Amino acid sequence: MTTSQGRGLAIVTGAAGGLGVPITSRLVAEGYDLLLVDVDPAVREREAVLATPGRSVVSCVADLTTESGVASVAEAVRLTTSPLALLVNNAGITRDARLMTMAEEDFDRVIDVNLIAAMRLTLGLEDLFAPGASVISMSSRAALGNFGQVNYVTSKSALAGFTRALAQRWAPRVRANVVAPGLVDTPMTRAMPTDVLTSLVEKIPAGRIGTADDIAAAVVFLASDDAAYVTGQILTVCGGRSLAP
Amino acid sequence: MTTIIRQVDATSLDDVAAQLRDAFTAARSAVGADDPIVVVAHGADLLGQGSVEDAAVAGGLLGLVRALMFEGGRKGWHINLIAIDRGDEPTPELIAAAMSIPTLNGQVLNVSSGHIGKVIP
Repeated sequence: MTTSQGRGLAIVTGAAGGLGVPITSRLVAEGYDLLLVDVDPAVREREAVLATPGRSVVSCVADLTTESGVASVAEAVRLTTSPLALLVNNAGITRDARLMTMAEEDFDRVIDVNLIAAMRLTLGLEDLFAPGASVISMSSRAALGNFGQVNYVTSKSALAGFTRALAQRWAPRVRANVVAPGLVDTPMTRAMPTDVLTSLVEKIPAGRIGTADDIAAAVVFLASDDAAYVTGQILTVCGGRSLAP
Repeated sequence: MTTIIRQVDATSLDDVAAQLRDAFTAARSAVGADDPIVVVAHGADLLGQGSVEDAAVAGGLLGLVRALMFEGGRKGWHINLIAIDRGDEPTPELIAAAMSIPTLNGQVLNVSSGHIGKVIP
């Protein structure tokens, strides 16, 4: 949606780290006001970094696994004058382990942060979305299966399931889609042994690792009027890895 | 023995989390006992045609199946998902196939009625 005042307010969870940084940078450049949400107080520093003339950029330190965290985000939305145009459910964690050694609390924690918190926030904001708004949830190519990540794969596949139902439940007022990144150049992947990373990249038909900007571009597209007829879909941004042997 | 994990209706976010946790612990017990696993979910929920809670559960169960196949398929773990209409039961023949055909592993066996022409997760 686009108004005379700009594109409206975009909420991005997990705004302080990983993909949150490039996504918020792109969104403010595209004309969105921003509400940066993260459990990490470092998100406050992003306010100054993203400050843009004519745009409102505010932050909210909140634990979205709690009702009070969701309430604080809703209150921050009510304090803005910009219509809520976009929610990007980007916050996520990993707690990897093989099935037989994975602690039950690590399964629960990943489900709680990656899935339940996103559902709680999205549903908690239902009445605040402006007509034509969009919800984009960050899943992963790993939702198709990955080693030692039964908790993460379950959470990201469930998030896609949630989105399919949300898209139908909230249509035509609000669209809901999923971005599923493949291997992306982040501090986490840079910490991998070089030979492991090289072997993973060799399996990507595009011939390179994804960049954070690749993912941010997908988010911007799905949020835009160019994707006005797209809802309930998964945009897998993986350089073709999801198809290759 | 075969471990059968059945999707049940979820009415809250707590239900969603509990059902996925229960599926995880049941699947792990089955793998530890070398039992094949059959997950029974609702086809309509895989398509997101019901509540958001049920869709999350169905999607999560599908992810669980794929994760286990990815990790253990070569080690002999055996797990499939049968998608049915709500209120139906998979036939014994279908369950037998899902638990016993070696190359039928990590799959969605969709015998629900509404999936033709839809994007299948």
